[in-house]
Amino acid sequence: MKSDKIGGLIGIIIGLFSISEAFRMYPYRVNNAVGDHVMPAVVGGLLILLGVIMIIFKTEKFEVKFPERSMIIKISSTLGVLLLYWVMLHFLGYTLSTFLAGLLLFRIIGSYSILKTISFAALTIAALYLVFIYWLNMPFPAWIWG
Amino acid sequence: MEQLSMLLDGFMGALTPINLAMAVLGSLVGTLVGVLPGLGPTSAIAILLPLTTVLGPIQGLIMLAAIYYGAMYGGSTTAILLNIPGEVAAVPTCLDGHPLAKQGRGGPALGIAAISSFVAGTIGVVGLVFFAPLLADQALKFGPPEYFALMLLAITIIVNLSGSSIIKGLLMGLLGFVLSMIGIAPVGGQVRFTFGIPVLAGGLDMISIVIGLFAISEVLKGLESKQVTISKGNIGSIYPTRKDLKQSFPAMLRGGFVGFLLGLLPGCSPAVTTFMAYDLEKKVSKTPERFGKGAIEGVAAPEAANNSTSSAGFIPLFALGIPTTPALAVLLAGLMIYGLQPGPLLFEQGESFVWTIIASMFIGNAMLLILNLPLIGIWIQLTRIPYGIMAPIILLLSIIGGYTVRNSMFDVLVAIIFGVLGYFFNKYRWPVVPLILTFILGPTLEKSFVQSIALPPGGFGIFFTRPISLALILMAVALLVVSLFLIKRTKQQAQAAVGEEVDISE
Repeated sequence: MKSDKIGGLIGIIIGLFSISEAFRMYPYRVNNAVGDHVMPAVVGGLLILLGVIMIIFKTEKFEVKFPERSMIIKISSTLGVLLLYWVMLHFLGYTLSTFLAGLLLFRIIGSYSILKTISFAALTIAALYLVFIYWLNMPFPAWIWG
Repeated sequence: MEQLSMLLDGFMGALTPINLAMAVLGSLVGTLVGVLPGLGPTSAIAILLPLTTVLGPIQGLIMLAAIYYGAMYGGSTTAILLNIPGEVAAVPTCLDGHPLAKQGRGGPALGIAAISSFVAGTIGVVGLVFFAPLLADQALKFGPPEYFALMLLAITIIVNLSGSSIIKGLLMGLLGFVLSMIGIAPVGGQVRFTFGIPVLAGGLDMISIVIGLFAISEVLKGLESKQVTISKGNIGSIYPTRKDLKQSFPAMLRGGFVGFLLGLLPGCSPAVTTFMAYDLEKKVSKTPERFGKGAIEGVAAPEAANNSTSSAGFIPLFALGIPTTPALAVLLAGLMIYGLQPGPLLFEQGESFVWTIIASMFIGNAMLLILNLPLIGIWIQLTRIPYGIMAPIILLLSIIGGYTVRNSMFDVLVAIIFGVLGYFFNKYRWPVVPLILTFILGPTLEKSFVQSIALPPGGFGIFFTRPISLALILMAVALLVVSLFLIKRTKQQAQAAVGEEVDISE
């Protein structure tokens, strides 16, 4: 599989990076076998070795199926909403951004009507607020105006 | 015999209405908090500790112990039904528990989890009653070389959890190791693998990675397969059948013993023992190819190990004052709030107190079973809710789970990134469990390795000159050979039965 070979190559790159970190840690060692450089060196070496094996030798064959275009858009939009939610949390605070993210997710994933979407999002944020903020006093981000 | 009479006295003290009420309340609250993603036993005890300070010492500690057990059980509920392991120890439960839920057998899986927790918790408490001082003393013989050898033994599990390609499993394991090294290095305190990004100095949080790889990627997979509800078809009986119980009982015992023995060792958390119990079950099974696809023993063994490890942890806590897990460290703080100093003198100075607590553990375990079996019917309805409603809720809970462990927005981002990675890992058949396993074991492996080499006389010979360490290394080698043989044999058997090459993944 071509993807396995690419995986092997990524393994080699991570291995090289790990070894470079081992070199960076080397001056801080206690002795050659004791220090923060040892494990990055060992792990890096093994990653390179296994990566090379993965590239050279024949690997299993299987078919990778990707969904149709509309589903790819749905999945990408869902991930986009999660990233947007992460950004919104910084500015709008937990309650408002969770409500907005909920609205978008219910709409995208469930394809519900506007009224249902608003109801589900409102119920969800109410339940989450009750449990996490009111009951457990979790320190969630407040919005930028406090 | 002396212990028995002490225990009976303990029961007399524990079986008062107020103490029973505290055990019930603790189990219930612990279960409810444990169900929430990201909130494992440690967070549950830490959050609820202030609430118990209004109680007397005995009631307070009975409640804390019950919260501890309840939170552990609660974690398995979301792991089985929603594929959200609230804590790392629940990851092996997901592997077979969630496929069972998808097949409409979430109820029996939850039932087996509750019964396993009860059986193994009881094994653990029996061990605590009869062998506490003796076992605590033996656990102290474990030094850095023995821990390193034990971690090596645990890492051999990767071979069994690699699915169709061992090389892929090993590469993923090494990737997990690299991820575990991000942050402050253990010897010199320098930062490693941070790319100069300050937030990485604190390292990556395990729960965020687990939530991303399991919960978020599971939702993406569910969307792709146009899932209507989590479970398909009729739910059927919500309780385990006699066949389920018969199939699971040996797994409960094995998991309970593995969890108990390893749970005595400081640093050997349920996260490690649950994986080892799962692996053992897969190895002894005549049909290992069922694992990862909904084998009920795959739920029983890790759940049993989880609970017995937690019970075993009370032995070094009470006898030596050593908390073996973060949750027990918080519990230790609870003991100290009440003016009790765990250690060798605790059994002499606070004898009646300790035995009341031990007796209440029996009661707490029984309460957990009694309370949770009727709740299964309610929990199981979660799998019938339309996926269009469930998926957004799972995603919002996943984000909260990622955030709550360290109150860090960075952890939320990590969860989302690993959600995407998990989706592609699944597509291209790169197993994620080895990554999680080495992420957990990596720091202990590195620390114990460095400490061992630094011990006099120095050098690698130390691992082979100490009997326990040598025995563990030999066991690791033997297990590796046996695993490779079993994998080859299973592949051949499956191929002979089906007539073509079969993927025995997970």
